[in-house]
Amino acid sequence: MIVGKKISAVINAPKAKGFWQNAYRRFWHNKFAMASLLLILILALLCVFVPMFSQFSYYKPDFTGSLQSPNLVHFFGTDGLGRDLFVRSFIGGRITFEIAFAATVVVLIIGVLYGSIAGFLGGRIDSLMMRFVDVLYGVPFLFFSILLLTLFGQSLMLSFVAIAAISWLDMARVVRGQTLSLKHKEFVEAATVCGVSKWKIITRHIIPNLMGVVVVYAALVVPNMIVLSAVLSFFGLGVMEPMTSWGLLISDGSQNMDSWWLLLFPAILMTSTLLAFAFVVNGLRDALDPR
Amino acid sequence: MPILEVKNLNVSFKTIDGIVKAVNDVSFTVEQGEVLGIVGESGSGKSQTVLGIMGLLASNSIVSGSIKFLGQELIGVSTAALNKVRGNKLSIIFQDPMTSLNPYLTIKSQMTEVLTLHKGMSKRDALAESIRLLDFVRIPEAKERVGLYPHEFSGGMRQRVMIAMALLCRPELLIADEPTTALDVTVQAQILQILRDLQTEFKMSVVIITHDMGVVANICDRVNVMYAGRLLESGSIDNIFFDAKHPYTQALLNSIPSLDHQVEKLITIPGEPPNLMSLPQGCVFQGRCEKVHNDCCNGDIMVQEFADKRFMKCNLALGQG
Amino acid sequence: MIKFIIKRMLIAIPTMLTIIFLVFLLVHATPGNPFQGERALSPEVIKQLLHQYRLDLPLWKQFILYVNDLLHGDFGLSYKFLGQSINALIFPDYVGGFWVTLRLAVYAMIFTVPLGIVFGCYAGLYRNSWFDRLVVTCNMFFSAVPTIVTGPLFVFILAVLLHVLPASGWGDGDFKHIFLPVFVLTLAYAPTVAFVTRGSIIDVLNSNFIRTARAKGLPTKSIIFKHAIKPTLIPVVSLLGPMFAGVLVGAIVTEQVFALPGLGILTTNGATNRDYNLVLGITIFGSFLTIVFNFMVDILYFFLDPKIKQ
Repeated sequence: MIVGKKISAVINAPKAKGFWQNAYRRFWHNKFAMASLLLILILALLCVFVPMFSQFSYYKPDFTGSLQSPNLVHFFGTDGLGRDLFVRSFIGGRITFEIAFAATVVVLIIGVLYGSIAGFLGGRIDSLMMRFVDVLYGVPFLFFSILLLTLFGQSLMLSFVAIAAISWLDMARVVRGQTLSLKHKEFVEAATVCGVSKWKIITRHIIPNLMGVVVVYAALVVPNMIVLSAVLSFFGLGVMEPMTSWGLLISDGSQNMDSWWLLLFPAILMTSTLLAFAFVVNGLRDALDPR
Repeated sequence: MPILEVKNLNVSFKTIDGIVKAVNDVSFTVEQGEVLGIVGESGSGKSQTVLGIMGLLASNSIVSGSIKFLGQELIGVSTAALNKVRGNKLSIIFQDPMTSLNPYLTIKSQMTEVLTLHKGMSKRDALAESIRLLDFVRIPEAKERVGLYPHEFSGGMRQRVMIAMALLCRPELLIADEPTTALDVTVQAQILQILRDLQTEFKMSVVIITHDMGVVANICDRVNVMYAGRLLESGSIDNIFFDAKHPYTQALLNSIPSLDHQVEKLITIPGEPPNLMSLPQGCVFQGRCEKVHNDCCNGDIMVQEFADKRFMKCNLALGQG
Repeated sequence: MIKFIIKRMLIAIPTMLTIIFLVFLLVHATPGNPFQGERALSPEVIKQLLHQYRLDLPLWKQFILYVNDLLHGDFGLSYKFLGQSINALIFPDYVGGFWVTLRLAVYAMIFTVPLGIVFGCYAGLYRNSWFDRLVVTCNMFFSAVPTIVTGPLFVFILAVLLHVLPASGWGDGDFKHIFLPVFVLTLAYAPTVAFVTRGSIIDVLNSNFIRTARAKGLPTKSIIFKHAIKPTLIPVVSLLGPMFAGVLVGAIVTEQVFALPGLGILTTNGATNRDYNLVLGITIFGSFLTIVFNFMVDILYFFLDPKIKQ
């Protein structure tokens, strides 16, 4: 009858719905987090639509109107080549978001798979896999990113996929820890007793129950990637003219401070985005990981 | 004059959800050389009462009433004045010996600092005295082991160290807050024996907090029974064990499993203690009392006093029910 | 103690070797050679160059020779600055390279650690005071917004608007030139130290052994300085190793912002000129520093925590 009991344990495995509903409710009531999420959404929409519908192009120079301070035609002013900073800010934001999200997806996939496999298999394989993670932690991240950009410089996306391929360490660690604790929960043991294959247990039972921490960490990776791409822009790597990114705009602006708008607007956009993400991460943590 | 006189002590805590009334209008005294037990379930306010005496309550607490120790008022005095008393004439042993000693300092440095502070002893004298007390609580090879760190001792040994540390200045009153709860049964007996020996040796007063009636029977002269922050009954050990008057005390004693006769089922007190954030009008025990009647649910509850400092808080007339 | 150090070394050395191997492989496994398409070099010259840089040898041989060089403290030759040794670039005789970066990082740490610990303790002791809230808010802000944003903004305010400080450059390393970079770096890291210290001291003050210390009648001063300080510092110390490595990297970013002639410029030059060997050398040097700092923190830990001593 023990098997029967275990089967009912499988049926009673934590229901995703109730958990997500609770988390959603908690997040909804967090004013800072909701406002921040709204801000991120608005910025993202602006990044998509401003360059699409603006009368100005982000790359075509207009030497007759260079370095105009903000006015009713050019809301953010123009740069040294007379290009509209408003459009350039949002096309730069678009690139920044694209890079960050692409990298986050790669981090998610590698981190979750690596961590859950290590945690689930346990034993010697686990310690070997985690030893490898420890080794990679010794690599100075920024230098390694620069190295990768030097190697894959031709393709921006490829570079960031490569950078993401070394940024999954935290994610893998967290997922492994969570998997280890999940592994000894009744419903996973029950599935093992019932002869469900390991692969299926990982994909059907472990991964769905990991989603809480994974979402929080993913929300952390996005701003980190935004910062990294901006830092690399300061090193003259990554996004190249005439395309632009927030990092590149801030870098340009800091070289040309007499035209304050060149620095101020991109800096404000980036700061507010990063702070918004910080609030969202806090909100998600409170909502999904109530301790 | 009693060593300790607690009068109308109230302790409450401000929390996000509201005010928790942990201790409510508690009054009692401790005489010279007396061993007083305070019993009650968890959350009955017994620990908060003694923490209040020691001035160790959490920062969100609100205290009122009066606590007189050796004639000196302890409520509302400065920390500096309190520090002259605690660790010196007034000591405490805590429940959890595993975490109550500082893991980053040797036993030596944790013990000698008490003596150099309160008695102005030299380090050497303080060390000699510390070793003497460690011997007293039967720690083998005290001389060698006094230089060790707490994690090099077992739980029972650490509690002995705590006891020795509390007794360094020969306190007039020792408070023991569930001194044996966290220990193995065999170790519990040893620790109790040590406490009893020390009490006779040093002739000090002891307040011992426990939820174990066995400990009370073993060591106490008098017992206070607490429930939901209130002192419901107080009396000598014989009074309480053989002639309990309050329905709660009776229920508590009934729920002690006995080896004498076979029982079908362990007797429990049905229901749960009231929420300390919204206490009922009238008696706090009304929800679980077998003899509850209308008078219990409103107004003040009668304090019935008897000979020999015995009293109980109950509206039930004696002999009734 | 010696046993403990040896044990740590046995972990650190293979870690370092694995990193060297991975990074080396990554650089050298990419197809082509660094001299292709650069300038019109005759085949003989290229052959000569390949030989000089050992690129005509099989990969495994290159690796062994490279590790051998590293063991002698030699990072090899630069691809770009032909014939220049990378050592001379990283550790130049003039003011620049690692020396600038190190100075920046050390100055920043000198302010970051004491300020962070003192502010953190103060915030933790007076929890929910305005100062505590300030520390928490600063941590939130400065851990979200990087130096590449705060740096230019400070330059804009202090140099462009108020004209009190020069906007950029090293000068001769004088106070005016070095103040703002150090300030920006300190601002980036000190709030984190303060925040961790704050959390730590709050935990410690709520612990049972501090309650015991209070019950013994000890004055507040001796409770904090004798009983609470060590356990408070332990989580802070474990933060410092990775943090110094982080500050070094942060210093490199800050150099970019303030146009200082440190490792940052060197790395940028290496990267834009596709000078793989230089970037490889800097990366390995960076890993080496990271591992050394973590090693030192482990040893510091050993002295702080009596439980490890056995």
